[in-house]
Amino acid sequence: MWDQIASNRRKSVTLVVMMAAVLFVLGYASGELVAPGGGGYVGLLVALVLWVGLSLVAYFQGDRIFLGISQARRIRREDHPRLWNVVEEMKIASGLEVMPEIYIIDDPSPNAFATGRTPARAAVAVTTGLLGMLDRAQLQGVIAHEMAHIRNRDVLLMILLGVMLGAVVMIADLVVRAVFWGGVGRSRRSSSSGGGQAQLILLVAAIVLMIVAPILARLIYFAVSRRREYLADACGTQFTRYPEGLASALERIAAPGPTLKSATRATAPMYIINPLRREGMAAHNLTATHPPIQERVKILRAMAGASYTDYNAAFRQVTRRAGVIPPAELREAVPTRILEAAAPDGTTRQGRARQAGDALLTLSDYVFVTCACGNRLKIPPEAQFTRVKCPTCGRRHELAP
Amino acid sequence: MRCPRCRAPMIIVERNEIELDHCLECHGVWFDGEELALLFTSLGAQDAGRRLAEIMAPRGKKPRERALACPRCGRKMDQVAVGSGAEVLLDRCRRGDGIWFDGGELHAVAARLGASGAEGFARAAAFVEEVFPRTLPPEAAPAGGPAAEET
Ligand SMILES: [Zn+2]
Ligand SMILES: [Zn+2]
Repeated sequence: MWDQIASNRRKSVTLVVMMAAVLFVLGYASGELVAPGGGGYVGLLVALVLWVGLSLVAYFQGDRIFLGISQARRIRREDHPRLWNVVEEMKIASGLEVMPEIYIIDDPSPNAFATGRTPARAAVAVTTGLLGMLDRAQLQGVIAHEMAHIRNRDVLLMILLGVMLGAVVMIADLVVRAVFWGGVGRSRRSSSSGGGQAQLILLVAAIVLMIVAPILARLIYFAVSRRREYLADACGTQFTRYPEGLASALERIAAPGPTLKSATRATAPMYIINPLRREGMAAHNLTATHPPIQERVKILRAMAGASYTDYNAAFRQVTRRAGVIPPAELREAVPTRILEAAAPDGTTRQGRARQAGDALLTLSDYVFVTCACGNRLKIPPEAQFTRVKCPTCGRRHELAP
Repeated sequence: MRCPRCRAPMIIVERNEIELDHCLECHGVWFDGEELALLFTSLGAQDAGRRLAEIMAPRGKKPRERALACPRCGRKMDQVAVGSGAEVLLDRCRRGDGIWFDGGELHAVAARLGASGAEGFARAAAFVEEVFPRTLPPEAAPAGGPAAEET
């Protein structure tokens, strides 16, 4: 077990070092490109400061920033018992020592996130769209996947890699703009007399690096992210012993039902993309497109049991690649049977959507009134009504001040 | 959420687990895109979203008045004509956040949607009319009086 974590750690460290190398080579080249002869060291310093600065912010404040920007609301057990109970069950199954904080994000698109730099101060956040979409077994599958990331300490690794990726993209982008708009190369060529050609070659090489470095950084990032994703699927399945839960959850998330949004997409000029949600800059994102969701579903459905060995076999069968589970982990894998499918939990899509929405309204101090005609009226605190009339039946309701 | 027309805070009316936002000042109704989707899903109308787009043809250039801002995203909404014949308008968020029925035109729009022939919309319109009936049941209808009183 420790052997395996250590070996994974070593692999991860290698990739982090590679990523850092890309960043520093890029920093040096950028400096040389902008100010030839000595500028390289300044560029190196800038890259170093950027890296350290961003990493410190991500390490100490990343989770708070992410939760703040997403306007995530922290819930107590009584606000959403169904979600709380599932998290608690999976916390026990995963062997985590501390119960993670639980947040709900008011967002109709289904998604889930894990954040926090250590397992002891972790948080899981799910959107109202996810809570409305998934039944209990599916929600359990998703939460188990997020718990696996927390237990495997993936969140911090992905945040640090995400920060470096961000820095590489930022530097390359700035320098390419500077070259095109500032005419850095032109002043260079005119000043050169003897070694013009050699300098030109260096210039071209530097520009190529500006284009290649972000691609390379992305490749490293996704190599790590893909592997951690498969491992979290495998690990989460051990917690639930029910791969179909996560498989059908992923399937639903990938193919949401009818929405007005898809109907008007053609006329919509553009969608707001939250930069902090991009590529795991601050939190692990369930629906990041790497690896493809369809493939993850196929692997989960091909599992003959719920152990690592079963996942590895299914992975090889579906992808026709070598396995993804570390050998040490496979040696220790205990055969585990898949649980029988649980009876439907009796919830409906609308009922779950109301449950999630009401949790957020309660946290915002809405007043709930149940009318005898079957309506439920939800009155915002800022309305300051003393009574309200039901629009359907006309009954008047006095509101406590 | 605030009323896009008069800025008053809207109450939420939940019936059969579907929510509508309602302004007690101007009697307008916001039918959120997510709630429409919930309604259609519960009815098994998988292509309802597409049909809604077909029905809501873009209106001509001249807006009736200053465009209302979407209560969700704050951007200007489109005024769209529903069906054919004498003009009946509703306001629709360009991102699909939802549609707004003005208080005075609620029943005209619902009737037009109901007559459009698409099953999903007949049901959606019937739902709006069920929650906001033209006339209240006689035993509960008071002799006039405001819908709500602020302190
Ligand atoms: Zn109003
Ligand atoms: Zn909108």
